[in-house]
Amino acid sequence: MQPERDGSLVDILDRLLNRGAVLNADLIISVAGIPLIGLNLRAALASMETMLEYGVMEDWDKSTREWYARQQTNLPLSKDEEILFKTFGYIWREEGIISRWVPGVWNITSRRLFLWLRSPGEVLFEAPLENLRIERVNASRAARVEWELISSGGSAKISISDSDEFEEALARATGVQTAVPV
Amino acid sequence: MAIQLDEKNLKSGLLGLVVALVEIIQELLERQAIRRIEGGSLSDPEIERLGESLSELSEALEKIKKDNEIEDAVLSVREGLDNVADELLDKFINPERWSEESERGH
Repeated sequence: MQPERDGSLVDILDRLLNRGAVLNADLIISVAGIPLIGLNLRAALASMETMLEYGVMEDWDKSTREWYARQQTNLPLSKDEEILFKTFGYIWREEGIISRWVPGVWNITSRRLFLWLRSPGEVLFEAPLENLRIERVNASRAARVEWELISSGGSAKISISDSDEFEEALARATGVQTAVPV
Repeated sequence: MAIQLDEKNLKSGLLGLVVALVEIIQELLERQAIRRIEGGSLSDPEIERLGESLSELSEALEKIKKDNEIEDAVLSVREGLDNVADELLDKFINPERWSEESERGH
């Protein structure tokens, strides 16, 4: 019987996970023949489905899913609010000495613009559509479009890859043409 | 596979390496997700959430690649890793190749 050959790394890792791997190791570190440190290692690596087949981590699987189901994970929309446009993007955050782009999903609804972080289910920034305007600023990278967002809810620096579609959708939602440099 | 870095390609090379690794993990997660869904223990909302999250992740990765112009870097890292994995697997399946190579003074 010829063993099957799969070329790509992903195929190999996938196969390894599906089968599962068990590692048992005993190690003693000694100095001058006197054992000083002992290490007894048992590790099992497998896909969750394989783990469950062998009856391992069943309770943990169940409690994790139950915990998540109890969390607020749905988009926090009010009744007559509907999503008009959503796209992947970033917001600029400065917290102490750390300043970075935080990724999330920008949603334009019939009422507001907000950045949604799916896990742990958090609204990172929101602004009502009234008096909302965005201005293009010089981007730190050529391929990226950055905006200064000014609203009654505060201002923020944001970045979105589908810039033209976003601008159009926002203009449609607010009914105001955004300020684009000519 | 040799990794060559200079000032020009340091950013794209390093970021390409990281993104390639994340991409591999993401593809693994996708396959395992399919396996879990086919396993039949997940509820419908769970399946929907899982699918949505994974597709968002894949979308985000594509955007990161596009924004930083590292598509080629990622592709070459992945090809390199695939070749390494393929060679390793080949040696496991044909153990005689170990000795052949060491005899040749590889």
